[in-house]
Amino acid sequence: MLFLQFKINENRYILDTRDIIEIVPYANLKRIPKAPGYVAGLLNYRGDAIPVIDVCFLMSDKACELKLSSRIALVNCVVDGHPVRIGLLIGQMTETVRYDENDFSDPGVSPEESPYLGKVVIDDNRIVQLVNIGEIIPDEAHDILFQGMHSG
Amino acid sequence: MAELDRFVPPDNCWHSIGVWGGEVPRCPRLEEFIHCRNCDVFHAASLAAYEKTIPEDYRLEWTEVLAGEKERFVTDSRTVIVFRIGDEWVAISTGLCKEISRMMKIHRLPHNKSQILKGVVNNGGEIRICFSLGSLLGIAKAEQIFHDEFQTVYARMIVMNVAGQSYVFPVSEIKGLLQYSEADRAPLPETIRASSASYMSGVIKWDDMTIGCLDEALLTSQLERSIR
Repeated sequence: MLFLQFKINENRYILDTRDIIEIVPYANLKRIPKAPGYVAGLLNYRGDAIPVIDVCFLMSDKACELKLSSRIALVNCVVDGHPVRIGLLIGQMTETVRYDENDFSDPGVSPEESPYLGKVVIDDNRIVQLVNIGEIIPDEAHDILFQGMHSG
Repeated sequence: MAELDRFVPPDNCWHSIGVWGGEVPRCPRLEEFIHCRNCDVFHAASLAAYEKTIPEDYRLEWTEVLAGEKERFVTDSRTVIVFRIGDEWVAISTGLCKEISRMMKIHRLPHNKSQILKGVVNNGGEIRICFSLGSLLGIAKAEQIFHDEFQTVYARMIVMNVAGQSYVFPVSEIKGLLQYSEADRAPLPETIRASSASYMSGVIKWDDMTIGCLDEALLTSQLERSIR
């Protein structure tokens, strides 16, 4: 299976590429005042406003840097039973890797604040952890980001 | 091997002793990696390049691109050869064409009164039937002038393969190859469809030209009928 790899504080994480629509550069975003720090803003993607989550901030409390290796992965995910498209702003997202499904094991630790952390795989003696796209948006952000979407 | 382990490549080695440079001696690592892009030195340098700050104009440009329509990828493309007969631009599928050749001498057939069947030509040692696509389509001689002091036009012959049989027909000029999508092809105007020019399956626009697309099935059946 093909995964997209990124690094946060030299730790390696991967995303399942099957959920990814497109990877685009860190374009200008419309900031949302008073939103939590992990909400990077709204991206005008082909005429639709798509919420972008700053995954760096979510995982390390540090906003994603304005570097060429910082990119936005547009992904499909399900929020409260509704399919939505969101952007994940991620730093040091530069490589794809292949792992076999059988190589993954359960890490045994799953902090309540980071339910998106998934299984791990050992590559070259280093631990690589899967980030589950479906769990990445914190519950409290569902209302902020997708409020209007479901009522209609 | 020990020598290779001690080898320290110079900065930007891919531009000097690597594949994008001409310096000798060549990089000893090339024996293993063949191309710099497979080498970990080049890989590390490319990762470092990505750690630069995003240039502001690059960011603005991408913001614009992402806000706009996504570029449509042509998945149903067809390729045709575009040529002119008289005043008309015509396109034929490249799959039917075997060869484009200079004008060959047409040997007339005795007692042939057909306007469509012109005779036979010697195409590289093979005798081929030569017909007039212009007469078949009912296209008159050119009224416009297509050559000027800057451009000379050359009449050519197209060797076409239909059901295992090769035919040759002369054209006034070859324009070139054109790739188009099915969506770019417009239906024929009603008035034309009723007339003799109904060998066309549609028209495509290319620059300021309107090109008639030959309907292969119709052309083939009509051709076989006219020549026998």
